[in-house]
Formats: sequence, C-alpha cells, structure tokens
Amino acid sequence: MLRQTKAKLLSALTAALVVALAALFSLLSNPDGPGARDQAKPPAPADPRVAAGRRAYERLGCALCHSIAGAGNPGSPLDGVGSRHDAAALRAWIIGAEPARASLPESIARRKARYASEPDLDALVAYLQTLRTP
Amino acid sequence: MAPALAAAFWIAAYLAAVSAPLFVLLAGPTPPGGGFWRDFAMALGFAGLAMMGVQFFLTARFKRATAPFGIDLIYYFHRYLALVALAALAAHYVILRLDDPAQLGSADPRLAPGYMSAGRVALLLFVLLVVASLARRSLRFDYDWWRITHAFFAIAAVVLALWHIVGSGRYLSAPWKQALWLTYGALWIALVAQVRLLRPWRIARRPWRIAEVRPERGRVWTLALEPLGHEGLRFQPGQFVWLTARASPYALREHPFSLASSAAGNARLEVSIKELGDFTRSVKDLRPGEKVYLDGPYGAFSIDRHPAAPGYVFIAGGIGVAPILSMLRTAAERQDRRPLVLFYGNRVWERVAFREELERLGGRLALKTVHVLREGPAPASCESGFVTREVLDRHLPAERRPLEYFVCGPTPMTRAVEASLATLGVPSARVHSEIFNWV
Repeated sequence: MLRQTKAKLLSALTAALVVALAALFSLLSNPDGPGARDQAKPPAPADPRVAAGRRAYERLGCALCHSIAGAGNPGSPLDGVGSRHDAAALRAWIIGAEPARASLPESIARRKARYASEPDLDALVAYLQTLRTP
Repeated sequence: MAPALAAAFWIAAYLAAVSAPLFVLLAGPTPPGGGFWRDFAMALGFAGLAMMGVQFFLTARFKRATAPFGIDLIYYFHRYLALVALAALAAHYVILRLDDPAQLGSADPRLAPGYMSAGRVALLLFVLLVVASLARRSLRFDYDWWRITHAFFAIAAVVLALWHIVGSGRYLSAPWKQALWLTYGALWIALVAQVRLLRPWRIARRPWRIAEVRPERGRVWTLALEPLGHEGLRFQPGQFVWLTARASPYALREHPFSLASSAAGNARLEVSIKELGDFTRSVKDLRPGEKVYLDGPYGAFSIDRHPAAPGYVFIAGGIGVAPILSMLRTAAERQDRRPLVLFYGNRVWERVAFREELERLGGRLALKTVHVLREGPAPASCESGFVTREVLDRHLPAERRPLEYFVCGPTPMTRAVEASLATLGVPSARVHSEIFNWV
C-alpha cells in the first residue's frame, strides 16, 4: 500500500473516532438527541417597548452568555428572571452596578459597565421583566 | 520493541492524546445539556484543537516515535490530519452559527469579549496555515519563508485558541479539566522550545566541513562532508538527513536529503542533490571548507530493516537513486553476495546519474541493473518507456515473492510500480517506498 494511503487512512480513522466521541458526549448531555430543543421563535411582543428590548438583547449579543427558552448559552439562563428581580435589580445586573457587581467576576463587570450608556437600556429591562416563571 | 508493536503503541498514544479532551468532557460532572448541536459543536472544537496540538509533536522529529513509520509518512500524516482538524474547527463554528447565530454574540471585536475574537482570529489563522501549506508550490511561496511563517502562525493560532477555550470557561469548570488544557499548553510550548532551541543547539555543536563539491551526470551535485571535531554519525543505508548550509541551525533553513554514501565506510558522508528548486540550484555554489550542519539520520527506508531477505529489488526514478546507491555501496563494502536487481528510470541516457559507478558496482555485487529510458538513443540492453509491469516481469527472478522491494521516485512512478508489483504476486508487506517530495 502506498505510504500516502496509510497516512490518509489513519487520518480518516481519527476523524471517525473524534466525531463518534463528540456525538456520544453530546448525546449523554442531551438524552433526547438532536432536534429536541424547541427552535420556534416566540412571536414578537405586542408592546413596542418590549419589542425594542428584545431587539437590543439580540443586537448586544447577550445570548453569548445567556439563554432564553433554550436558545443561546445555557450557562446562565434568563428564564423567569422577571419574577426573581425588580426593574432596579435587573438594571444593576445588566450594567454590573452594585449590588449585583459584588457577585460578578471583575472582567465581566467591566464588560457590563459599557451597557450603562445603552440608549435601549430601559427597553431591555422591560423585556427582561416579561420573562416570568409560568 | 518490534517495529509493528512500536507502531501500534504510538498510534494508540496518538489516538489517546487526540481523544483525551473528549473523554474528559464525558467524565462527569457535565454541564446541563445545552442542546445536542451546541454540545456537539463544543466537543468538535476541543478535539480540533487537541489535533492541532498533536501537529507540533508530529513535526518535532522524535526518532523513537517516527522510526516505526518513516518520517515521510509522518509528514504526510501531518498534512492530512491538519485537514481533519481544520474541518472539526470549522464545523465547531458553522454548527454554532446554524444552531443559533445569537449565541456567538457580536463579531465586532469592539463589542465581543477578547476570548471570542481570539477564537475567530485563531480559526482564520488555521485556515491560512492550511491553505498556504497546500498551495505552497502552486503559489510559489519561498520554502524558507513558508517554514518560518508556518511555525509562527501555528503558535499564534494555538495560543489564541487556548485563550478562547479558557475564556469560554463553561466546559472547563472543574479544576482538573483546566489542568488538562494547561498541561497540553505547557507541552506544546516545551515542544516548540525543543524544536526551535534545544535541537538547533545540539546540531550547532556538531558541525561538518564540505570536503568536496562534485558534479555528476544529470545536474546532480555530490557534497562530501567530514565531521568537524566529533566522530560523525552512524546511519542505516537509505536514511536521510536535514542539511543546513550557509545559515545558522537556529534559522531552521534545513532541507532533507538522502545519504548516498556507504553506511559501512568511514566518517565521511556524501549527499547527492539534483537541481530542482531554489536551494538545490545553489548547491553547486558551495565551496570546499564551508561549514554545514546535519540533523539525522531519519527514515525507515533501508535494507537493514530487513536483514534476513534472500535478495533485494530496487526501483529508482531519477534522483530517487540516491538512497538506493547508499544501500548498494554498503552492500558492496559488506561483500554481500545476495542477488540484487535495480530498475532505474531516467529521461535520457546521457543524464543517468552514477551510471558508470553502477556498472562498477555490478562487478563487486551480484547486481543486475536495468536502465529504463523515456527518450533518445540508448544502448541495446536498455528498456524504453516507463518501469511497467512488463518491464518488471521480464527482469525479475522467478522466485520473486520472498525478495524485499525498495521503491524511490516521483509519486506517480511509485504508485504505478506498487500496483504492478501487486499484480505480479509480490506481497505488499515486502514493498517499501519512500515518498520523494513530501515537504
């Protein structure tokens, strides 16, 4: 067998092994398998302020660290956050102000600080307030 | 350790290194499921980076790890594995993007956190690395420049990627998972230090002096080298060295060449180089007395790996004759009387390098040389055209199965000869080839 072909075979074996292990890991973490998550986007809110808040949530890339209804980074879900915090607390969490700041790592607090000048901040708070526990 | 066992060990070690990050993910506590596709993409990202890390090891030229395979195969593997790793990393990004673009956050580096921009730049660098390497010849990149930038971008890409995964954090919450990646990172840095500093330092301490620059037929130049203040190097006939000329070993401007001289001779070595590229065209300008550096020997293409064979068959195309010449010269000095056949393909008779010496070797060895020429007038004893199945069949002895076969030449020739030998009933385990143009 040509030596090049042997190298190709071993690379293909690696690819197969890695994809299989990756799929296994993913299946163990998500027993329902692919497509289990509800991908349907909730309808646009009727209140224009809440709609503007949701657009701001998308525009600012909040889903990099947060998820809503399973969409986004599942590390810090925001489902029901409107039931847990009032408007002032939500605002503090968004811009990394006290008292929320004490619970945030320094680097994240710094990143959040820039949202203090965000013109849609009030709208974003209004949107988060609509995320209530059913 | 037997070569087959050693090969199995190193393949297992390599598969373990590549899949370790995935097993670490599997071993609890796993973060709550983030959706199948998201977690699948994350796992591919980890595995892709682990593979890219193994790439450093593959080209670090560890003799123990490369010996069972032959280093040409390792470099080919480096090339194919790069494609697999890049595919995994690209899939990591594309799947996340298709799953939900919002979870990638803003692509604007002013808005995105540093670790996300680091990941994007790393992916871009990996694409550049692979494209530049695969298209190096067609884009006519200077080989030395390519080697330096390849190493630099590879290190930059891996460092950025490590920043990306440590910054993303979620899957590495347990300290021992972070420890695994920090260990990987430290290992990679140690490998880079070994390749860029430690090995050049060892090479620099054992310089060689050019004793002679000799022209051969067919624009081939032979450099004779003598050790300067050390005992030289022991090698198996057919192996090769990395040669550095008119540069410091730290500059990493090395080029691989087969040793053509006898392995049974004195400390003086010879390499025979054909004018093919930028560096090889400059070999004739080297002068006796100049200092050069050698790293080696490397390679598994040697009769000494198969000492018990009842005889050997060599099939050379052009300058692919160099390692075979070393085996023939060595056999002559050892007064080996076993039957040998050499098929030697060239374009025209006047440019057949070493043809006079091969004739002389025929007097000292039980060697039959079959010249195969593509063009022009030639002695009646020569075959014309290519080294085809018919040519092989005409000149191979009847008892051809137990012989060991060594093929060295351009890839199309190697491929064709291997196919022909298979149809002539030669077991593939007895056919050894060395890839000719693997860098």
